[in-house]
Amino acid sequence: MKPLQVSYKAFPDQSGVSLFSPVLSVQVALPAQNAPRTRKFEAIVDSGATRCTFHADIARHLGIDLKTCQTEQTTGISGAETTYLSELVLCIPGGPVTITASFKEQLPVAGLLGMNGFFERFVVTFVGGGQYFTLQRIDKT
Amino acid sequence: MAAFATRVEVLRSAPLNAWIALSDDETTLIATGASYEEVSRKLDELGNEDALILKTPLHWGPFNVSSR
Repeated sequence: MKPLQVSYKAFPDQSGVSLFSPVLSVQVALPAQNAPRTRKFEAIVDSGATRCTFHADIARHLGIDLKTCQTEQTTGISGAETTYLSELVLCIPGGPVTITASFKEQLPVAGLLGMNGFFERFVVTFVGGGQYFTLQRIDKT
Repeated sequence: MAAFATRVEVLRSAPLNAWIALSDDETTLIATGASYEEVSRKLDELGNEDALILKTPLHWGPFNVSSR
């Protein structure tokens, strides 16, 4: 199958120019039959993230009680933080997959698509000069 | 997708550290709120099924958010 080409998305910065980042619109749902999906939201394609990580607001919307979730200490650029783990269906190109996602209160964006759960399922090629990335699904769906 | 300049201007006009919804073509800010839930509820009231939701950061700048 031909790789999916996705243009980088533009964001403002403080000096009046635009910054471009690899972003994908995704939906998530509880891992239950006929569970409703969230609306589409933007998540950054982030090879530096070990797991797919989403803002805790997404968990609350889905009805996940973070107090009952297994926790994990993560080491990030800005220090250690507690994240909450939960099984989740991630809707991505090529079909939905069930992943172990982490949720974080202080995430500055809605979501990060990381190595476990996302990159392991694709050949991802970043074409910085062209301001796009490509996704080639490699797992069995 | 909107021309990037239009999207950037829409994002620049949006509240910071908030949840926002853009029209499907990313040219219009159609809802804002303090939580995903609030924005989703506003979209329900508008009957909008196609909006794209984003979380805006505390300030706009380069992303450096890797979690682990």
